[in-house]
Amino acid sequence: MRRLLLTGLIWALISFGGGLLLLLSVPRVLGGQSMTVLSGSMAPAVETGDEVIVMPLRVEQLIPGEIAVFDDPDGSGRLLNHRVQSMVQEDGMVHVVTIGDANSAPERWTVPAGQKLGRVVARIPQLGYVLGRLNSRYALLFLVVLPALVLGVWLLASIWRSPEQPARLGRER
Amino acid sequence: MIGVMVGLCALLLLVSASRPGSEEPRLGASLKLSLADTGELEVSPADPLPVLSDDDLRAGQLESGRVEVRNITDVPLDVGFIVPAEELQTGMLAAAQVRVRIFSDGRALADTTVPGLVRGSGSAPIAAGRSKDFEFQAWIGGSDPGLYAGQAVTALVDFELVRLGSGR
Repeated sequence: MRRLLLTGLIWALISFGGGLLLLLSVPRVLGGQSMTVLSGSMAPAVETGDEVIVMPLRVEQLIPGEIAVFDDPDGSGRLLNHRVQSMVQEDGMVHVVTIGDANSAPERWTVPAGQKLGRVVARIPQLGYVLGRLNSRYALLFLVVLPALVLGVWLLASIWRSPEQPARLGRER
Repeated sequence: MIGVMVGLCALLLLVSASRPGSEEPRLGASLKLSLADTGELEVSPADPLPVLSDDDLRAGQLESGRVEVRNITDVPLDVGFIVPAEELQTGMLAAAQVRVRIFSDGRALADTTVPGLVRGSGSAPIAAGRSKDFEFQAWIGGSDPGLYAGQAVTALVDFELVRLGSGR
């Protein structure tokens, strides 16, 4: 029973991790990306260290209330993810007002209609911290090599044990 | 198999529970209308002080302001208001959400949108050397905050003048 539980737990962890990897990689295939949030300007909806999945769209497809990902209008080259307040399109330009949920000052910016931006579609709490630490050599050892070793040992142990059981059962009968 | 299902369900639960939802816009429109002195008219308050200003104007809210206009010429003037299109410092569609009324002596000289004032208002006479109060009212015409939330509508209103006589 304990072994069954352990097997289930290991498979649950493997599928959780695999699903997470899929969740982070599939958007890339579809033109999206995942980003680590570096500031608390959208707290509590999106916290510092969260990993967000961003999908591309044209600016006029944004809907007020959604979280848009766009270049900081101050020209600093940073990417902001703030909530859209209003969008007015005229003469081929779109006037957008955004604000961080935790901010008091809005950003007002104008881009040509058809401009590609991003929309936050999902968030994985605090995963950004984990992904950041994965860059270290020891983290890679701890998170990839060690689980692979454990899994290998466990598989070997199961192979080694399995032929004994029918023989013992046979003797008992 | 059950383990895989549990792992995938846990991931699905985590992602769907922490999905950042859509929220209603929380900002109002920022509105500023001002008038500047001219060679014929002296106004109070004069630009850069606004006749009417609100940083959080929302649907259903009325903002009003009063301006005193003094005729400093020696002839009576018929005074109207106009917003030069180049002085409207925002998108016309954003400004179109803001409706404006201008009153003088209880009579409405204008009941239109901010861009509607580009065509000018009705007028009211001011005798030479005398002054007259005008009341400006503004409110958001539509109820969809997605069209005005946080948009800044700033206009420097100009005068349309007609000389009514040749002297006192």
